[in-house]
Amino acid sequence: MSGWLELALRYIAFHRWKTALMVLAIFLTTLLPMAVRLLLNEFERSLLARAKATPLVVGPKGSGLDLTLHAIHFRTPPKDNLRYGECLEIQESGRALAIPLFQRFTAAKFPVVGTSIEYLEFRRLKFKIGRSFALLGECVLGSEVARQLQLAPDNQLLTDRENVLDIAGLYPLKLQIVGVLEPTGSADDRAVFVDLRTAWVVAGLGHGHQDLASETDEGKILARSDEKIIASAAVLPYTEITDANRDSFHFHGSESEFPITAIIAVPPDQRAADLLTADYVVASQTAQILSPRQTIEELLSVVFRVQQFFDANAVLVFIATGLLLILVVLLSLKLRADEMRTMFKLGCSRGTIGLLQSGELVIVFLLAGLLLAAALSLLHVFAGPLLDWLLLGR
Amino acid sequence: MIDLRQLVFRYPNSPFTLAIDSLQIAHGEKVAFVGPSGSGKTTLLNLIAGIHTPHSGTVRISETDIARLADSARRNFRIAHIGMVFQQFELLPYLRARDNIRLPFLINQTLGWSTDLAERLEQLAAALGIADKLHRFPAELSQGEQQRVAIARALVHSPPLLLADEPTGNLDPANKRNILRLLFEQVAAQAGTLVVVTHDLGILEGFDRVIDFTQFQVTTRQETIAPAAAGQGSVA
Repeated sequence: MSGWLELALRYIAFHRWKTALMVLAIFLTTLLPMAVRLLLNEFERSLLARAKATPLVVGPKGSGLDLTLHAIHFRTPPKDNLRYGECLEIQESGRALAIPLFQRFTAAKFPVVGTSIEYLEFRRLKFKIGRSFALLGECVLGSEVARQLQLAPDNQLLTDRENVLDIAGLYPLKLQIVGVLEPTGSADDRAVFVDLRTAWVVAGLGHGHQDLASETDEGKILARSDEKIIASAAVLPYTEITDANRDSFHFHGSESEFPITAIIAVPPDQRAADLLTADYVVASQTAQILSPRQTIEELLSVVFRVQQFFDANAVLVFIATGLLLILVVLLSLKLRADEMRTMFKLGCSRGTIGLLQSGELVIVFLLAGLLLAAALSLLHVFAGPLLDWLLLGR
Repeated sequence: MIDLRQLVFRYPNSPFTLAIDSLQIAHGEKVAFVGPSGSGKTTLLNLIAGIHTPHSGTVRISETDIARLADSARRNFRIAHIGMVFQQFELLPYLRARDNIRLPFLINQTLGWSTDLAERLEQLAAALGIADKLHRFPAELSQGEQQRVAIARALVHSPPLLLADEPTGNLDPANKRNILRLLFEQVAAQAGTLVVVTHDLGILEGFDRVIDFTQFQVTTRQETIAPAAAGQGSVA
């Protein structure tokens, strides 16, 4: 090792706390703008990629951004519901493949997404193990859900109770896991997929219970006529759908009036997309149609405008820190003037003294750079979950 | 060993002028420069060391006129042939005693460190009584120990000429005697030449020659330079 380098390293080791402060100052002032840039790029990449892959979204009127984030990231559902009939009408019009989404419930805090089998095909989701949901009560787990909950096909997953204090509220439903998806790096990894009808069962719109026609316990029957039987509260709905009780599950009312929270519309061509858009813009009082790509690009343009202000601020902070560092270095040089004079008197060249001092600075910047690289690598790995937590609220 | 002739040195922007007609110090001699502050003792020491370059005249050390050498050559000459001990010890606070002694080798790549030198360092440290202190930082050493480390640093590469500027200036009487004894012993052990600057007349015993700067005039550059003491070279 060169003598000057050894001296520089020994100086830094001796003044480790002062060095650590300088390294930290450089690290923090550079980390902040770079981390924001990295997160925004990741934000743009993940949001835009998913938005671009989703041609149109139909949902109740309200915030377009909320609807988009709900439809493509399963974020908080809109306040109002759509009728499932809306989905059927789009499908029948032939203007788009209509994929319903109904997501108002969770299981172990992960969103339970009621949809059709077409959703898995549309998103090109592949199975790591198992198969797709086919029967009432079956579910498919996103990769992250399976990993975090340590669940696999043949295990069961209980939906979350909405309000534990509401004893008359909906009962949690035990879902039968039949498949686990390959990771995709998207919101699909953190969702539980069920058939739309299963989601309606979770919502209490369909249920199964014992056969009351043959029930003899009078405590369970309030009234009986040729047309109907009125059961008492003693008749409990099933909380698990099994082969034995699956046939007893039924829905009251018309399915077309049942709720969904959004529709992903996949038109075959631009003309069909335009016509479908026109239908909603002109005729619908309760629903809206939007292009997720356009919505997200509008959001990003605002974000990037804000970021420009942030960048300008970061430049000013960086300059201020740089000036402070220059001051520290100049003061340090002044304090070390005697030391340098001693080295000169002992035969050290001015060039070596310059190398020694610049070497110390280079080492400080290198340490800050290493720290920065480590922090950014870590951030890169955790950018997805961090963004989910920061921006999507989960 | 040292031969100074027609030497004139001036500090920039200062009226101080040091002029020496002729001064010789023989190989193996132990010489003390004495005199009050400002009489030119340290300036002369720096001229001999090649830290300062004279305005005119020659500074021959072992037949090499170091005043004629280029900066880098003079620096290399100094580091190879001259050891220096400073009044304030001038140890680097962030280096352990061992590395302070090694410092000339760290700052000049022309000097190669070797196992022989490492052995010499250990021997020197043992001779100076600091063998068990080599892992300590200067702040963890007493003044006497720091001065010993500074002496070891000046001697580790076995220079034929040792220059010491007020080496006992900050020490108590007992330590002064010890340090001088060590300097004499070490210089004698390697048959070197010793030049010590001091204003302490109580330590002159043991020197072969004392050059008293008080008998000379140190003048501004416009004034006449006084002649030197007979038989002791001349300093004006």
